[in-house]
Amino acid sequence: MTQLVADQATSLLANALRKQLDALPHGHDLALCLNGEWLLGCATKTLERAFTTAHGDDVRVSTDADTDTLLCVVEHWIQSTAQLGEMERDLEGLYDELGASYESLSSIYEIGSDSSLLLHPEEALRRIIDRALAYEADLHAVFWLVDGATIVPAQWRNTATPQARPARLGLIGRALTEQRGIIDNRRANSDDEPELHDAQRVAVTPMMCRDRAVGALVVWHHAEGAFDSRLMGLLTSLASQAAMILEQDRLRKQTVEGERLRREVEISGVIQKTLLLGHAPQHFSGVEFGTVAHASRHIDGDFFGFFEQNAQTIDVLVADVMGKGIPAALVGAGVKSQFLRFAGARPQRHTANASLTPRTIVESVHKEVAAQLIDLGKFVTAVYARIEPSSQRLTIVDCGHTEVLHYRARDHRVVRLRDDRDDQANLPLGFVPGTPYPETEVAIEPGDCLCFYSDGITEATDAQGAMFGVEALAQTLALHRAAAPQEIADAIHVAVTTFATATGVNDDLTCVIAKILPAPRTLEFHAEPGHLQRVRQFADEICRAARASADDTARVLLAVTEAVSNVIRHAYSTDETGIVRIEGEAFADSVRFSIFDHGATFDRDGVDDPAFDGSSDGGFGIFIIEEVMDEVSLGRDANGNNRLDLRMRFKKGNE
Amino acid sequence: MNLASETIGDVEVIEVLEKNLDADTAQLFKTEMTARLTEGGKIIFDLGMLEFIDSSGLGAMLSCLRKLNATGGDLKLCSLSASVRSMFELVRMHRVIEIYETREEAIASL
Repeated sequence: MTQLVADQATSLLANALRKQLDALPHGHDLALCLNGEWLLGCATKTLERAFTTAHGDDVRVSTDADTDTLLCVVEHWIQSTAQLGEMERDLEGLYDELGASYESLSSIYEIGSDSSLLLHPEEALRRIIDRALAYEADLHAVFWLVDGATIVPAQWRNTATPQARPARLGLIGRALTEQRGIIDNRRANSDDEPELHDAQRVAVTPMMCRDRAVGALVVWHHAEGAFDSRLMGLLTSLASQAAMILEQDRLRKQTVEGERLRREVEISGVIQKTLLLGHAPQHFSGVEFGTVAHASRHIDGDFFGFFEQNAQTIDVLVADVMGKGIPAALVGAGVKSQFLRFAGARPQRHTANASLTPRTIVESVHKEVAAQLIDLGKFVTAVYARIEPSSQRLTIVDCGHTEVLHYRARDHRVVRLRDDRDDQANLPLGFVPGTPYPETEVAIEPGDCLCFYSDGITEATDAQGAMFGVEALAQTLALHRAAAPQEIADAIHVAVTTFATATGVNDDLTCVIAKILPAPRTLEFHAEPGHLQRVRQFADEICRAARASADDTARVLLAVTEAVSNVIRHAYSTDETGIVRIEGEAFADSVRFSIFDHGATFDRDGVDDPAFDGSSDGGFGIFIIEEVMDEVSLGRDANGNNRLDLRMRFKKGNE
Repeated sequence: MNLASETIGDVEVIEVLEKNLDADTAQLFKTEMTARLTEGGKIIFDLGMLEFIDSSGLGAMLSCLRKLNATGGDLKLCSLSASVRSMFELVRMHRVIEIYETREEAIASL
């Protein structure tokens, strides 16, 4: 029997029943019994109705009001509430599944820290592929390893023994070359990848190690459906874990050959690169990031991560494990996987207002890791920050970490975001179970710069033993405030290493710069071709703000003109009252444009490639857009308008 | 549509005195050109003034080219700015319509 036991559902029922009570004629009462337990009132009433909900819950409602209609209304209402409860429970199930995935990461982390198990990387790989497989029923999977120009299968599930083949072939080849995960939900048959012959949807993630793709984790399904970013998040984490384990195994074998010292540095670097250090999102609207991630020889367990909650909200985590060496790094990995569990990979349908607060995230993570950390005698300082550029709000939860620096464009000052409660600053993670981690909220504005850093930065010492200090860091931040965030981060890195030339940098140097950008600019006009000149002027201004080269600018202007012409001619079929809106945003390395209209939806598949022999005029517009822009995607905005997103990344100067 | 025309021998050079050839202006360009084109004509478009051209402008030119080719005539382009030229290259139309640096080279080719 399905039981309606979810707390929310029970309280929903009780609350709603109370409302029904208020609506009853004065002096009457209502009682509700769920699965034998009286939630409201008790069974002393004259009229009673018992029924079973669609999900098998036994419900008894009784009232002394002399109306049968009321009971019918209540019954109907309870049935629908039970369904709501069921939905809530589905969602919970989804979280549990997600949690289970990340818990398995923690268990891998435990494997990793157990040196005897490290001798059996096959066992670790086996567990990893099984974890990927558990994501959904009837999945197929292969763990490929790159060996020179070929890929060889290391582990496989639900498929015949795959044969080694050239690494460049097919979707896997593309993922390896482009070094990024790829989801293909509309798989077309290809002879290049025989095991994927009957696949309807495929997800591939490369296994990265020291900036090289050393393997790939591929999962696929023979039934139609859609893999999403949640699966990709899981695969990416699993692939990172696998890369770390294989690399450790390789290095361990080399260690036996007597290269221990030199290699340990590499191990540290590998762990840090693959596991501990997140990739800053390049294109989050309204905030741009720069990072310093310098691993010392004696790795100190610094880590950071970025979690996009929704289009307006991004979370930044910067943390430092107290302790050194590979054990510290592994503790970092375990803690980070817990942050991933609570802060990352939230289901897409989970909307902005429902995502967990920074405080809840930190407290949930702490609940999971506190006992383990205390057992291990380790603790972790961290700062968890939520940046909401469109609401101009920063929410910080400090866990005994270094103070965040805030360059304020308004008064050109660098402010230390210290905890208001003075001596009651929050404790690091792993000190006292159940510690509360209150939030601090700060207003932010375009032009502001936030600097998150580890103590390796401020505690770098010169020949006299003086520390670099927060003051010097603040000055460096203020001095370079106008530069792109990565340039600011690089300037800080240079300043610290220069300062510490005599002694050398002995600690991890970790720094994340977040620069708040002006809101995207918009241009709105009627769908008349006469406005195209204005559109180009607008695009030109965005390109200027992004310091695009003349060549890139010309190409952007062309693509944007084509896109807007398309909307005018096709979406509105020359209905000049239609409204077109363009949003433009400049980044240090790219420009982004979004074009909105409420006309007919563009059908990309209905447009053939242009005739390159000049025999017809059609199809050039969309060809140009896709040729020029690095990212092109069609969709709809929240109001149901058509939305075309375009992004061009600038070619690097030396290319 | 601002156009200047000059006849040199049996070649007609049409100078496009516009800065933009996009969806706003291309249709007019096409209409005017279609009226001018003679059967078997040898035409050169001098695009020295042109700063921007998109697929609509390109389409208008391809339409002229097809019309001329069908009657034994030809169309060549000259004096393209870097950005206009790169648009032709982007869509590989520099292989379909011959492009010359100068008006003189274009005339010599016909």
